[in-house]
Amino acid sequence: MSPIVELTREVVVRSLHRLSSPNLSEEENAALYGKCARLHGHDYRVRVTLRAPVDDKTGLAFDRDRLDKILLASIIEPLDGADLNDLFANTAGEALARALYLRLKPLFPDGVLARVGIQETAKNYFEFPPAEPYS
Amino acid sequence: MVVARRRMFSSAHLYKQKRFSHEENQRVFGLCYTEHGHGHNYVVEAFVSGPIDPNTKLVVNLNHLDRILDSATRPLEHHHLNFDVPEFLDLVPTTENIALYLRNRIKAELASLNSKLQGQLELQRLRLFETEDLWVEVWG
Repeated sequence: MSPIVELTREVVVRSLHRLSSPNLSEEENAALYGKCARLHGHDYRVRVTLRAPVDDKTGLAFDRDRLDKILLASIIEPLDGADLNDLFANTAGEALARALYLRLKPLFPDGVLARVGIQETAKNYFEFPPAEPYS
Repeated sequence: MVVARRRMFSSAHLYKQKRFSHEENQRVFGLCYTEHGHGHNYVVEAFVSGPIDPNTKLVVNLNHLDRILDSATRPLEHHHLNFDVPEFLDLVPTTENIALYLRNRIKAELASLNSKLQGQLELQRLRLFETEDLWVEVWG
């Protein structure tokens, strides 16, 4: 049995967003979300982690070009420079991590996508599903 | 308790499977398949778990951990992995395989430290950065 490893690629997208609930007035959103209710942007660092056995011949857990093409088409091209509120119902880091995980999952062989992490700022990080040890 | 320590090393490598044809190597490895190779500043992070020693109040003396990381990375430091490291003469020195190589060496070093000091240190996981935006993590 080939050893299993996790391979992570980080991509950066510069995108706009604001936190707002459609059920609330502008004033209520401002009161609830504070400065996050105003339109602003982040350099989002999106970390996509795959978990797969290392191929005996190639030494690779996953083809880098194939991974990068998937991330280019599914994350960088649609999100970079975009207003995330046009693309997602909820643009909080928690919801984005989950939405990107669900978007990417079917693009990889069964069980290969382990998780998506989003470093929203140097201070905020979101991860879905949470990392788990394996052996 | 888990303690993590980081170490940098710089190596040259290229991705080439000797059993593949020229065309197959190009197809599988793309830009990483070159005649002479290229280099990286690798960063390895070792996460070591164990109980806190009641005398020292430490999980592990970081000098010991540094010596282990030094010894594990020394055969790779400023070497061309494909030509200078016996383990990679027939094994492609991908980030995955280098991470597994370092895991085996660090585990063996920890076992020998454990037997010397009656310790219970284990390698919980290891992370190897090839670049800032690409890394491999191995548990256990």
